[in-house]
Amino acid sequence: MIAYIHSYRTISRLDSFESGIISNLKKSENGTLIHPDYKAIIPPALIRRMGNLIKMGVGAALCVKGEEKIEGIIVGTGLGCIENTDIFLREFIERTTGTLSPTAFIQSTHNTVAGQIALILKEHGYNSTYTQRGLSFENALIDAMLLSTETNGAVLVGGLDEHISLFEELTKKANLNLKNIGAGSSFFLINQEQKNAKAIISAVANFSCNTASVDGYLNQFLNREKLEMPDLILYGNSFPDNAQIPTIDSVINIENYAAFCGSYMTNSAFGMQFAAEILSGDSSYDAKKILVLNNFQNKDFGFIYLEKP
Amino acid sequence: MKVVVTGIGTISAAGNNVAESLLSLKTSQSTIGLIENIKHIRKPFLGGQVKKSNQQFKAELGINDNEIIPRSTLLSLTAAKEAWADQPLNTEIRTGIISATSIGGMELSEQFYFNYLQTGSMQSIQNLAVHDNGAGTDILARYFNIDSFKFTISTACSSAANAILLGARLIKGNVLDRVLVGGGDAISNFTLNGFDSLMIYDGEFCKPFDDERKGLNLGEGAGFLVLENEHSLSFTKKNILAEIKGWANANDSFHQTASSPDGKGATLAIKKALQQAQISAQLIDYVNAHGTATPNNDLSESVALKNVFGETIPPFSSTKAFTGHTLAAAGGIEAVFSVLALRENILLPNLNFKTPMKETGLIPITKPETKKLNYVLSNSFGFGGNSTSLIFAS
Repeated sequence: MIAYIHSYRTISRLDSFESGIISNLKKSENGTLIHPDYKAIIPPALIRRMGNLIKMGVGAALCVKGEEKIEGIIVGTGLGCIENTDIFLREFIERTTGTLSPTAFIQSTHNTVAGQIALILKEHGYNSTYTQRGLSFENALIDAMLLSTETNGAVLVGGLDEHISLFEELTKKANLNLKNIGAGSSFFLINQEQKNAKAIISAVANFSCNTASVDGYLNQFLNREKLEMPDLILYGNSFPDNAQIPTIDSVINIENYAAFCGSYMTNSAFGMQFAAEILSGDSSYDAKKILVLNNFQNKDFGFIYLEKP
Repeated sequence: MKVVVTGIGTISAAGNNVAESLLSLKTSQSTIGLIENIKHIRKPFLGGQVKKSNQQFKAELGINDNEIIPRSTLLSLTAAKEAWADQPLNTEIRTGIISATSIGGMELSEQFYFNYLQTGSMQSIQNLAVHDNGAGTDILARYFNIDSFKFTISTACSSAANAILLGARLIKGNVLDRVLVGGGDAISNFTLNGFDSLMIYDGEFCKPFDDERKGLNLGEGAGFLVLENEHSLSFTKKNILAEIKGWANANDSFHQTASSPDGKGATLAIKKALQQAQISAQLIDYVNAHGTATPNNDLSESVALKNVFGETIPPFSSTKAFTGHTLAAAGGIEAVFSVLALRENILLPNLNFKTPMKETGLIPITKPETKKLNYVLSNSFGFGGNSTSLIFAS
């Protein structure tokens, strides 16, 4: 099961939406996102009613899709529409009498982003949403590659998570040592056509193990998928803790993508665009085979293996 | 490559396991009543509850009572354990887990929020560590020692149906040999107040497909299945309970919460599932409908049934009056019910039905009936336009 990446967009704390990740690389712990001008992308009448995460998803997805015919829309999100979840919780806790507004409830379900993308694009095809913590994007990507293989068609797939101020408020009050909490939205169009592709996704997997066992799981994965040791690992923590980079036996280069985008549950989608940019163009990175290695709390690991098309 | 069902497990207001659920269905016994034991409940609600405390669940599952585990996960563990039974661990069998939920640990997050917003107390902050949907799947995966291909799906009320669909596709696509699939949801203030704010929560017993239907009653529960291919069967030697023959996922693409009047998404899902199964519509012997008893869903689904089956609509019913609407779990519980219908050759009753709806005049099965069944269709539709249909074969 493979798929080719044809287009991508990322909303991040870098100015990445129009000109990509590599040309805007800057390590920063300032988590403020640089949003595109949504009014230029989404019908203005709809924007007003959209929560932040929905805007981030719809904005990136519409630009990636362009005029392509797609077979499905698949989204991964660790926490989903947490802003509207927070709003609706406050709504019924604080408004103790009278009727409640359903607006936030409606927008709080995890599948709101994928549903809204379908609604705006008038797409009646396959539609799904994955919420497996730090592996949510890998979940979505496996389904997208399967769907693309089954239909021999194109699939819109993305990973996104939003940030709310409650994170900092609680982190401070509970004296939690969380750092570099991030947010972002990355979408991709993948299909089975090699022509003009930016990168090929050769294999995706997820494993639950301890950090010391990752090297063993990586070797198993490479053997099973008949892949060579990558020449670059793009590594990221998808939870804002102090999870360690696993020791990989063979000497290979490692770049920490979470240092650029922050830690959030779907930041491996940022990692995948980073890899696709390296594989598709000129950059100071010299790599033909890249492993995006995602570490969630030293217990779940995601592998996305990409090569030049 | 055939995808077969070799294990089923369920828990809901209809029963604490498969045998109890079957008995309720066969005798038309519903336990839906006033919802109890939900802290901070805003007003009286009718719903389908499992009469077991979290402590009881933990004791039965051999889990330390101090562990913070959402009720949705305890329900899922219970149903999954029944389905998984004595499945062997074997590295020759590529095994995965796909679990669905819509509220995850919401009932615990709510308790933190109530404390925090009302008194500033951080006492139950640990509850938030299991807020997200994936937290429960992590607990399930550890419980069953499944260390890769771990998925959580959240497509509102079609979630567990999509977990089953993904499991079937991963086996068909030769990615996995065996997979534990299903979903679970508990009752929370979040969902009670949410559906109430949308004015689709019936103050009386829900009446699926009835002209006078006012809305749903929520329920809690879980439903899980074990799916295997022949390679896996050669090791596990399990009995085949049913075959999963067809599956399809489509989007209604009409409105964030409402279903289209022409039943577009539902029609597409059913038609594509029939195509996938390579059988004609006339071969469907029974439809376990989504039938939430909301005015909107039941009309849209009825129109879809007419679109697909024309004037000869197969016997159909909604079992929501037994379970309440269990949201993400519904597709899993109803898949188990569909397999039971096939195994027992029985049409399951739709309780509380009196008057056919004016628009379509459709009449569901209202009493359990014996009939030889070969193919059963199970529908699950949800917010976000998500529409999934599954076809099980004897």
